[in-house]
Amino acid sequence: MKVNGFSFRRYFFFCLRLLFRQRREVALPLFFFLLVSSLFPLSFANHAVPLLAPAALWITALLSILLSLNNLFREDVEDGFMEQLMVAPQPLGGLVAAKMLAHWVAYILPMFVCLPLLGLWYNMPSDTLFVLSLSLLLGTPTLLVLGALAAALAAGLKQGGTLLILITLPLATPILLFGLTMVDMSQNGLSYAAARDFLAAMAVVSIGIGPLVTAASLRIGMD
Amino acid sequence: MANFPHGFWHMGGFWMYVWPSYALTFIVMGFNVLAAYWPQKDENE
Amino acid sequence: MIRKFSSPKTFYPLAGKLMPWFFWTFAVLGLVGLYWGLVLAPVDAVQGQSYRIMYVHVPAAWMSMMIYTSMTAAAITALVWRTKVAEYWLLCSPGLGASFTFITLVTGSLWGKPMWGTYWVWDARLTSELVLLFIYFAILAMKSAVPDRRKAARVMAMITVVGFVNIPIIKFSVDWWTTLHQGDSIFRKGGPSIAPAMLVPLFMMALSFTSYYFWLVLKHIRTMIERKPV
Repeated sequence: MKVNGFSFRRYFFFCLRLLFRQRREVALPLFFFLLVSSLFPLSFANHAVPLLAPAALWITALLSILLSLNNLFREDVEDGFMEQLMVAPQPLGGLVAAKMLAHWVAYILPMFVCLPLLGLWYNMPSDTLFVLSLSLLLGTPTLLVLGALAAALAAGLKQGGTLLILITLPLATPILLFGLTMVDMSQNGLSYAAARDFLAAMAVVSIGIGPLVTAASLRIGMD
Repeated sequence: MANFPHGFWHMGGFWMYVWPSYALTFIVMGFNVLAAYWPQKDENE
Repeated sequence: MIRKFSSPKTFYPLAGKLMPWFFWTFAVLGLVGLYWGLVLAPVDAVQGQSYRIMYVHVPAAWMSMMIYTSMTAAAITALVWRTKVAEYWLLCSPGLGASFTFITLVTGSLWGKPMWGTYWVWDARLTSELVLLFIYFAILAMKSAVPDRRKAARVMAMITVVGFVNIPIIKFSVDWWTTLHQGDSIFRKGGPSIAPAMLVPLFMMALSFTSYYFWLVLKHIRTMIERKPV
């Protein structure tokens, strides 16, 4: 167990260092996020902006996560590093978990840093911004796991990037809807506890079994 | 025989909505018969 | 016993023996159900003729979920035991499932126009059924993207199992959210709220569609085994 814990931490920092070295590429999905988020208020009528803001931000976040996931396993699969990981003594699920955590820190955490700025752009009241951030915080682990699963299955395929989007979007729709329900409820002054608990439960399940399922998918995808 | 033949053919909704539903259902089901008996050659062979 | 049944060599003749039964159940119940539903069943007091769409819409909706559930069972079997017949089942089902989901959506729209005054609303049940169609499309896309048959089956199995979350959401959407789509009028507490003269043909059509599904899946599996003997 201690050995696994150690290698988890070491592999996590290894992934993080690798991502930091390619920081220009890592920043691209974030730019995409900011760019598309600014397109929505530009194209809506002014009075519609606060009404559509949560939906616009959720969809943009979902799309930029999908954009970032394209590269999650592809390079490792193509240069053969993934095969090394598969025969390594450490359980593949743990290594995949470390990689996904590093991915979350590098790609998704910066989005939360940008959220207050976007709240300003969208003239969002601070409590709406808080609930929106909370819904994204609870929703993104599940989105990441669903996308990673699809990325693992599509890793070796020619049309991998398109397939990744095609598989993940329908699977992610319930998460998107519950996240927006949460914001909608709070905007109408109602209790959003039910949607919040659903998202939290999905996040716990995703974090718990997601890496294992993704590892199994990688083995299927690499077959 | 409650409503046949009187009124059956010009009762509200039949020509507009009912028969297209049935027609579509049987066309799609027919295509599936073709797909099961004569699948495309390139299907994961 | 299960191992023996699940080998394509025993499955092939067994499927051949079962196929005519399913075909004739489909044909006979379908014809009787159609005549009963379209001609014999009384006109609905509120909905007039247009309620007759129910006899294709409701069975098709059941099928869209039933096929997905059977695919999930096949997917788990294929992933855990690598059973070949389960893999075939998985390869042959999503086309039929997508077809029934498509039928459900279109007939539902055609029923919605006279009843609600609109072809489409973004309510929970309609949206989740649409998502089910997209999940079927994703599974079909993976089927054509992966060249190797057995690998394709296991990739599809993985997506099927994860997408199963959507099935209870569809089933209970009318109970969880207040929607325009009516609540469950057949399987509900206190028995069905539909007159027996309207209900019997509905069950006939449902059984007919189920037999149709089994007939075609068995035929499709047999065709695949013929194409590439195991």
